[in-house]
Amino acid sequence: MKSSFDENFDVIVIGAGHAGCEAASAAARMGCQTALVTISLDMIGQMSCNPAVGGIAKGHLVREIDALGGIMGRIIDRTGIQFRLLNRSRGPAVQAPRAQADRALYRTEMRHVLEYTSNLHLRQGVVIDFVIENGQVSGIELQDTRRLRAKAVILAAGTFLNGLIHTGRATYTAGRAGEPASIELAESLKRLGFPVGRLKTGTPPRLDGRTIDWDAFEAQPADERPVPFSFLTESIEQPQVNCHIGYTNQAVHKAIQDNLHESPLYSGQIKGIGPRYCPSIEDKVVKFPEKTRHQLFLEPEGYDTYEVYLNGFSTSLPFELQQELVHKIPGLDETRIIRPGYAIEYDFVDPRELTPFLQTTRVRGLFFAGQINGTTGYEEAACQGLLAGINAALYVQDREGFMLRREESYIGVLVDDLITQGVDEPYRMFTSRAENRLSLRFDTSDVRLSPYGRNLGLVDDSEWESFSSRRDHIARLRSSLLETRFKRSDQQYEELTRLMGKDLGDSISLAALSQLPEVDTTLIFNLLPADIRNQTKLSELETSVGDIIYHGYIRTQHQNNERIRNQSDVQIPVNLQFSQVSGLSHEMVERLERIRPQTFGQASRIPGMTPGALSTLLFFLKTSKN
Amino acid sequence: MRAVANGRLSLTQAEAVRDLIEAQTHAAVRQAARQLGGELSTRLQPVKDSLLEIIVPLESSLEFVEDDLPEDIARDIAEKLSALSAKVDELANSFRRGRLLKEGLRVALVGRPNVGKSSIFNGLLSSDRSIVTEIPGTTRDTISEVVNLEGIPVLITDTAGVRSSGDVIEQLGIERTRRAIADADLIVTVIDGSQPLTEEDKKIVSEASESYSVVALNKSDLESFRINNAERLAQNSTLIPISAKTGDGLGTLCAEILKPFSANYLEENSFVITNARHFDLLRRTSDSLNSAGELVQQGLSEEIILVKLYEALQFLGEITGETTPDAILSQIFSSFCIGK
Repeated sequence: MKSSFDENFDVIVIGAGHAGCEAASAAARMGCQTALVTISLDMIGQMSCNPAVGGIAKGHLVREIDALGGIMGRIIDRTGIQFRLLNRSRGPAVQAPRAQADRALYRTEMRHVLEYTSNLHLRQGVVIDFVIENGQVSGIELQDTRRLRAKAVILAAGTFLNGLIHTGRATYTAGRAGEPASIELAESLKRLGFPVGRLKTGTPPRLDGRTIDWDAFEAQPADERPVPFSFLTESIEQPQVNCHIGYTNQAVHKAIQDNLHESPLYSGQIKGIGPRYCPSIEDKVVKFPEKTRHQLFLEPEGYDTYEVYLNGFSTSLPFELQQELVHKIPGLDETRIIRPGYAIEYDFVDPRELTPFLQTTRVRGLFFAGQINGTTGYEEAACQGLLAGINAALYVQDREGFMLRREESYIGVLVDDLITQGVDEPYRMFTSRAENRLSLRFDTSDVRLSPYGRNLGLVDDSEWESFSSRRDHIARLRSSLLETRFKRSDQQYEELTRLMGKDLGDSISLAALSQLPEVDTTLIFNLLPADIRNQTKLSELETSVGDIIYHGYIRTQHQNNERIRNQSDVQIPVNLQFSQVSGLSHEMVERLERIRPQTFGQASRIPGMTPGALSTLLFFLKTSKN
Repeated sequence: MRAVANGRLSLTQAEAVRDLIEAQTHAAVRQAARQLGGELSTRLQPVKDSLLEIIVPLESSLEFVEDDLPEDIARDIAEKLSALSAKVDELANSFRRGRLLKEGLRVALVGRPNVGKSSIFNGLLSSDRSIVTEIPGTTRDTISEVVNLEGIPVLITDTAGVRSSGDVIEQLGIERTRRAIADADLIVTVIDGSQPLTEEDKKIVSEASESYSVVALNKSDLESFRINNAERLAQNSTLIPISAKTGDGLGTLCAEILKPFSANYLEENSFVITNARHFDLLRRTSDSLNSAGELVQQGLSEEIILVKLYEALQFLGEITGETTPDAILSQIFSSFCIGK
C-alpha cells in the first residue's frame, strides 16, 4: 500500500447527501480547501425517500440552517413545486413551511450551487478506510487506491454503511436502491472500536402517474401565498402543482394481514429498529386494526416526470404483493408500480460518542453527521452537516468549537438529545422536544442564529444587510403596535367593536388587539399608520405580532427557569445517590450520576437537564438539609 | 412549625412540643399517617394519566397536522380540565387533615372576656388526667397547654386576660382573636348564651368562621340561657350548648374537636397529604390547570394552552417522577396511527 497522498485538503466530507452537502459548503465557505467525496456525482443532494422538505419542526430546522448561512432553504425555494405553511390556524410557534420538491431539479440545483462554491472540490469514489496517525485522522483511502489527505474528515454516509435492502424475502446489500453499500468503511468503523448498532427505515412504491385515475382522489393545492424557507427568498415564482389524498381500505388491510408471513418485518428477517412515527403500512394495519382506512398522499416527483410517490404506503412486502395491494385502492386499479418499496437496514454509531461539536471522542479530527448518528430525515441530517462542517473548519483553523444551546435552537435540542441520551429508534425532530417551543419560532430563527452565522463567515455582507433591515423594521413595528391606540372617539373604533362583537374598553392598542384570538394579521396590517404600513411586508408584521402574542408566556417561563437557576450555590452532598431523589426520571439520574455535580449550579449547567428535574433536585437539596 | 414562624414559641420549645406530640400520637394514627403519605405517588398516577389524556391529543393535533387524526380529538378540554383541577384541589385540601394526623391538633379558644373561655379551657384540661407540660405564652394574654384527648395530642390555646372596656381594648381583642385564628387548626368560639349577643361576639364569630370552627354556647345551666339568637350567627359552624360549670356538653365539644380523627371520618377521606411541599405542588398544579382552562375559554391556540398543561405536569412530576417529551411521544404513537 502506498503511503503518499494523491491530493491534499483541509477538510474531506464523505457522502453528498443532505448532511454532506451542507458540511462541504460550510467548510469551503469558511475558507477550507474541502473535498466532497461521493459514490456517484449524479446523486448529489438525492432525496432517498419522499420528495419533500420541511413540515412541523423539520421546517423549523431548515429555517435555522438558513439563518446560520446553510443552503438547504435556498435550494428548496428554487426547486419546490408545492409550498404549504402547516398549522396556519394556530400560533406562529407551531407553524412551519413544507414543500414538495422536484427531485431531479433539487439534485441539479444542489450540484450547481456546490460546483460554484470556491474551495469546494467534488470527487467521485468509494471510501474504504480512514488514514489515522496518532489517534488523529489524516485522510481517507478510496477503493481505486487513491489516497486523499485532510486534517479533518466528516463522515455523512446516510444509509450506506452496511446497507441491506429487503423486499419480501429477497435481500441484497445496497446504500439505496440501485446503489452500492459501503461495506469496507463500516468494517473500518468497527475496527476503530465505535459502538455500532442497526436501524431500519423504509420507502413506499413509486407509481406510473399515467395509470392513475386522478378523479378518485382529492386534490390538495399549494398555498396561494407560498411561504419560502429562506429569509433571502422574496417570493416563490415557479408554478405550483397539486398533491392528491386518498385512503387504503379493508380489502388492502386484509390482504396485508393474510400475508404478514411474507413481511421481513414480521418474519424476524429485519433486526434493525424502525421509526414509530414513520411506520410501514404493515405496521399500521397490525398496530391499529380498528382503523378502517389509512391516509395516502400521491405526491408528484417533479414537473417533467409521471413518477408518483405513494406517501403513507411504506412497505417491504414482496413486489407482487405490493402490486396487488396497490390495485385494491380505488383509483389505482390499473396502476403500475415503477419502483417497488423496500426496507433498508444500516449501521449507525451511538451518538453518545460525540462532543457537542459532532466530533468523535475516539478519533480526533473525525466528525459524524446525519443518519450515522441515529437520526432520520433530510432536515435533521442537513443541520448536523452544517454544524459538523462549521466545526471541522474551526478545528482545522485551530479556533474554538461552535455549539448551539437547547434554549436557542432546535439544532441545539437535536444535538443535545443525541449526545446525552443516545437513540433507540431513528431520531426525528418534534416541536415538543423543545422545552421552550414558544421561543423557537420558524420566523425568528434569523434573530436567534444569523449573528452566529455572520461571525462564522457564513452570512455575507448583502445577506447581513437584509437581516439587519428586517430586524430593525420588526423593532419599529413593535413600537408602532404598542403606541397605536384606538379610542372611543376614533372613527375606526366603532367598526372594530362591531367586527369583534364585544366592547374593547375606552381605548385599545394595536398590540392588544393583535392578541385577540379572532384577529387576523391582515386586519392589523390595514390598521397600521400609513407611513409604516407602506414599508412593511406582511411577513415582518407576522413576526412582530408573534413576539407580542407570546411575550407574557415566555417571560413567565423564563422567570420560573431563572428562579431555579439562581440557586447555584446550594451544595450537593458528596455521597448523594441521585436515584434517591424521588421524582427524577431515569435519564436525569443518569446524567447527574455521570457528571456528579457538587453544586446545584453545576447540575443546572448539565446539558439536557429539564427545568422540572432541576426544581425537583432543588427541593430535595433544600428539604434534606434539615 | 407555624408557631415558631409567628414568634410565639422558641425553637426548642417547639421541638419539645413536637416530640411530645409524636410520642403521644396514637400509634395506629401515626401508622396511618405514614402509610397514607407514602401512597401519594400511586394516588397521583391517575391524576397524571388524566392530564396526559388531555395533553396527548392536543400535542398530536399540533405535531401531526397532516395525519388523519380523529376530528374531535381535543373535545371537552375545558370540562376535563375543571374536573381534574377539582380532583387535585380535593387532594390538596386533605393537607390540613394530614398535618393534624402528623403533628396533632391546635385548638384556640376565642371570645370576649367573661364568656367562660378559661372555664372551658380548664374543663378540657381536666378531662386529661395526664397533663405533661405547660407552655406559657410569650405574650401575657395567651396560655397554651398540650392535653391528650383519647390518644390524640391537642394543643389548646386560651386567649385569656385583657378586659374590654374601651374601643381601643376592644380592637385589641379582635386582633388577638385574629392571631389565634391564624395559628389554629380549629377555633372554638365561646359565647355567653345567657346574655344577648354583643357586636363583639358577632365580629369574633365572623372572624372565626373563615376557619374550621365550632361555637360553644356557654352557661347552659343558667335560666337566661337562650340558644336561638346564636344559631343564626353560627350557620357555618357546629353549635354546641355547654356548661363549663356543670361539665354539661364538654364531652360533645371533645368529640367535635376529635372529629377529624374519628374512624369513620378517616375511612371516608382516607387519603391525606402530610407534607407541606406536596401541598404546595398540588396547589400549583391546580393553579396551572385553572389557567389552562381559562386559556381554552378564551379560544387561544393549543401551544399556549400546552404551556400551562406542561407546567402542571412538571409540578405533579416533582412528586410522581418526571414525564419526558419522549414518554409523551410514545403515548402519542400508541394512541394514534401517526406517520406517512
